[in-house]
Amino acid sequence: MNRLLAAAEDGLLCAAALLVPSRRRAEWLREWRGEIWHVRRCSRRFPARSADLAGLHFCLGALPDALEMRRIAGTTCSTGTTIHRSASYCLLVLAAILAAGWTFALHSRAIVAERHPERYTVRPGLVLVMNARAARGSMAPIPVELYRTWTGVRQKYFDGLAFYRMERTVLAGGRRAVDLPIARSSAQLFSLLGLPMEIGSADASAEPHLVLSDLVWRRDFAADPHVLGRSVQVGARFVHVAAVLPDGGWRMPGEAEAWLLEPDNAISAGGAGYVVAQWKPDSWRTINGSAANITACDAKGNEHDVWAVSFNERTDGPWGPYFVAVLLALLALPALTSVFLSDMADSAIRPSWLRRAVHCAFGAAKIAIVLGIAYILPVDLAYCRTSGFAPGASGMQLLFTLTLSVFGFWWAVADQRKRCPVCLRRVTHPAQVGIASRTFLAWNGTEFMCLAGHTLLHVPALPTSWFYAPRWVHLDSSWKFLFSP
Amino acid sequence: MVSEPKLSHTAAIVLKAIDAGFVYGFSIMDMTGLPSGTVYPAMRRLERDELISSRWERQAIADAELRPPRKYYRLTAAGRAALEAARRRYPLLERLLPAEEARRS
Repeated sequence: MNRLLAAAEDGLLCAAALLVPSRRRAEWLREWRGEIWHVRRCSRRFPARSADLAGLHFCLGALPDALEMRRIAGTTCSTGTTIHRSASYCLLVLAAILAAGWTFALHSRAIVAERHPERYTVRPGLVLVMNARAARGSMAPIPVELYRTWTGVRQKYFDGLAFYRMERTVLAGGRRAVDLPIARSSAQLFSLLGLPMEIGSADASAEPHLVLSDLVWRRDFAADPHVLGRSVQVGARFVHVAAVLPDGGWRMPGEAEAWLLEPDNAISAGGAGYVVAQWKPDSWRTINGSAANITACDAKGNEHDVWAVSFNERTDGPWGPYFVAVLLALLALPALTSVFLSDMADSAIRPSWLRRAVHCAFGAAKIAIVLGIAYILPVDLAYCRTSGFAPGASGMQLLFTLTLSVFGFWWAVADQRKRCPVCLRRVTHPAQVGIASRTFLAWNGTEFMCLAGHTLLHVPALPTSWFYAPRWVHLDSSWKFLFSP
Repeated sequence: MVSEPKLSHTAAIVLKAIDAGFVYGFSIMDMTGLPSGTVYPAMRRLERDELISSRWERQAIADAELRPPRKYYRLTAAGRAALEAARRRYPLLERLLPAEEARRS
């Protein structure tokens, strides 16, 4: 316990130390580590619980102290200000956001499936059958009785049908009993889906089969390699583990963590679930598009309209919505901000072509990283709860990408306009120059300056035909004394 | 004419504690009852304003006493003047801890 608290105290000090300017960090940390020795020594006179927490309580004070050190350093030197206005800092922050999004995406089941399409190919002609009375794309389920009626008659369009229904049930037999979302499925579900896995032999046992997700196998069965064939309890029933589904393999509606495979007549009546069907190849070719409206009859002869939606459409990758959103954002950009960058004032001093190339490359790098962020963050957000690229999540992705792209492009243009063409630092210290009545005689607007003394940026308050874009004024060596440290 | 520095009550207490002989951070906390998040930032500001100065204790002394070295603080001339002004501004400051008593203990 004491070792844990000591580690927590030191962790807190180290975290606070990150706020302290680097040149004073070591001394600051040395003082606090020295002081905490006295705190621990004197806390022995306190009651046991207070004594344990005294050090931690003391270390909480390190945070305001570190902030004070930072504030004091900020008023006495401008290094921090200069750094956070630099081009490298800007690119570093953008790259960090991109890296964080990418790291998160590596653990997203949808992205894993996208990166390894060979593992998760969907058979051509595989469809999800949905109730047509619900809104299209809402994945309306089918009553189990209707499904049983279909399996009992000869099918005109389908070669095979399978049903599954989501339930929460306790699974016991692993490290501990866990309450899981389990899909009670037709025995032929996985063979119909054509997933790359071997279901254990059914002859070995009269018990139903259970397929575990990779997540449950690792989390609740400690990745036991001998789990296949083991008897476990699902609710009140004993079943035996027949297979482990690879990570990202399940891309159907419903966030199942295990699948209980049983004959269709053993699935309890009542409720509704999802129906997966294999369309006959010759019939599918006659269907235009990726969905078909068909009429099915129930046991009493009543007709039901259902939609059969292809899984190929459901499993389209994220690139389509991304390109559409980026294109829309580009079209919207001129309406949101002026796309003109800054002009050069008539001056003998002009940056070299190399400087101008670096300036352009910096702008291009920002746009490229913004495009990367606008791809990865919406994918993270939209698909974090799904195991595939479902239409509903695609809509969310489109919305997020559009929002991020519009904001990102607007920011990139605005930021580029305020980057000194010589050193790429953001200009600062805005000052109002002139008065409105002088707009037509001289100029009226805001003047920014480069902290390194290279340039001034004149931004007109009222754009006119002769002065509509911000204008750079390059400073010669006679200005140097104003900016010397 | 140079105006007298106007100290906050906390800063005055910290100055008073240092003057009374409590010359490192934890001893000031212990004497004043102020939390670490108040005492240390106050000392940073006082040091920035050159009312106190700091120096590290020699490693040999700390080693001899089997503890880490301390960072000691002491009043500067400006700090003494500021403390005198604070005494007039906060008369109750004197009752906090008489300097002589602290030096004896």
